[in-house]
Amino acid sequence: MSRRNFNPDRDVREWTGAQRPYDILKEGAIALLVVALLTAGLALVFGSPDEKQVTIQQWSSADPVDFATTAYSELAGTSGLAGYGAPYNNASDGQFLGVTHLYLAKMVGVHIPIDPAQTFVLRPLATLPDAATVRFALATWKNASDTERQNWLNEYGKATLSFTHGQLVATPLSLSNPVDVLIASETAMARSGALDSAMVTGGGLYTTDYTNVLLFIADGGWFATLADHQHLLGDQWGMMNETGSYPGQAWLWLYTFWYQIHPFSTSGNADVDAWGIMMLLTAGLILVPYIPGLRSIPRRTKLYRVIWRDHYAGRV
Amino acid sequence: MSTTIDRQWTTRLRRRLVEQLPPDKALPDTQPSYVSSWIYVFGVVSLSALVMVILTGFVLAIRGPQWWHQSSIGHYVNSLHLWSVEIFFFAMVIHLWGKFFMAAWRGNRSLTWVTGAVTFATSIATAFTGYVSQTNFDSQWISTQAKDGINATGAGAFFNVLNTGQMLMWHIVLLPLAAVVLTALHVVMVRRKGVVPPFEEVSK
Amino acid sequence: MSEILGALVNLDHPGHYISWGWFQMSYGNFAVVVTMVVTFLVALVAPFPGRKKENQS
Repeated sequence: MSRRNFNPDRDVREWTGAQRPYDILKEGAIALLVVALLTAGLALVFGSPDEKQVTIQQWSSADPVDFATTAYSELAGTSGLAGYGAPYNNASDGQFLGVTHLYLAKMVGVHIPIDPAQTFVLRPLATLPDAATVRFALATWKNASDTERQNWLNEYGKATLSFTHGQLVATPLSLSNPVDVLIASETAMARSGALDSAMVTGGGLYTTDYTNVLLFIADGGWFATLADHQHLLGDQWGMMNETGSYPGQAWLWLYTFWYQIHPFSTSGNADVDAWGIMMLLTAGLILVPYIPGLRSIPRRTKLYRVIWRDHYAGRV
Repeated sequence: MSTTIDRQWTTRLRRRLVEQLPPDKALPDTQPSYVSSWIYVFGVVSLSALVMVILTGFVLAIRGPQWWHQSSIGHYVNSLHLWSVEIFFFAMVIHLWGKFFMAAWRGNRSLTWVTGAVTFATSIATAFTGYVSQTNFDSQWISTQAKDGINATGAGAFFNVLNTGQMLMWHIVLLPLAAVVLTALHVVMVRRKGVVPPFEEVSK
Repeated sequence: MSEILGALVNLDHPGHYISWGWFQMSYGNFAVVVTMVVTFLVALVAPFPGRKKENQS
């Protein structure tokens, strides 16, 4: 310190003045007791939210057409996930970071490879027991050329989907289109609840990984409708909201903020840009003591005179 | 003989510890007279809330991650966990504001500020992993939304927010450990240096 | 026991939101933030007990 000049925003002459009795353990004990009582009280008065999880069975029962449309988009490779890019596939370059034009996700690469048609449609259907028509449709699909598949997909894509008398119906459609059997069977499978377990476990028994099933549910429109009702969408400041009327992660306000304003609210790179800005600001917060100007704010605002008013008034 | 003892790892560590944090600084019985404001209580309130967060987390751990959906006692413990987290962030933010306006980093206290700010960031990550480990609609929605942000940074390749088991492990082992170690460092630094003295002003 | 442990104030109903242009915030979060700011201000101005007693130290 002797080498450099005294800087009031960085340096201080250590206190050699008066001391007074202070029982740090007693203070800690009282604080803990108060916080414990406050916690118990708030928990008793307000409780906590537990909005039940949703399943594929619920989705396909509540909105079978949305479900079937989503399943079709996975098979056709037109779903959100099918075009996502890293870390799931190479379908797109993904987002790039602001001015740097660095495609961070793409640079890291595909580490959770997912083939939507296989994962969400073909593989679960293959687990159905004693389903001759499904098996035949799967075999037809497997042995077909890309052109044939595309023709079937195009035809199905143009058909109108409806759900009548417990059955998914696509019209008009030629009789030989296997996509019809695949999607109708998957819808029936979903409504029975079998698709949930088939997709969650991926053939095994144990799992703690729900990546596939969550990605599939999130590709549909029904899930977002539920979130919309709970005011949880990104453009509703949803990240800091909670189901019901509970307070949420209010501390995410600044991160959430960037998504609401231009240019981020309309940018395809909003996620990576918001993250980039927040990383920068967090670094700024951490490094406040070293940043000239920023570290002068307390001395210049003089709010400290209120905090230490007893000291300055000579009352202590 | 004494030189042998002097050179022992244990002796050197002990001397160093006592030198760095003598008992009267670790557990002081006095404090400077300028410490005379309610703003000073928010550090110890944050610490108390952290203790409550961890204790209620322990209780939730006893019966496992699904218990709180099925039992009203479990749900109440979950409520305790949630509200202690709310108090924790509440107190921590006020603590941060207070320390900022006191410029509490002055006098070689920069690292105290740095560990505090890093603890704050770590706590946000810890809370987030808790939100996605709830196994309810909340965790389904939050994880499927948050994946886009984390994926876009490239971190999603290794930190998969849709992998509930991975998130639960981060929530109950890795991140709390980091938060507690950081908090311990922070508190030791505060005790070692003492609270920052007021700005010097020409007395009237 | 379950009645005792159930919340006294039910917050499991659709939330209300403050909307001000592009700014939106739920009443729940708003309550937390306002309480936080108020607590901060009160902590600054509220007299701290025992400040005069220790004059002689």
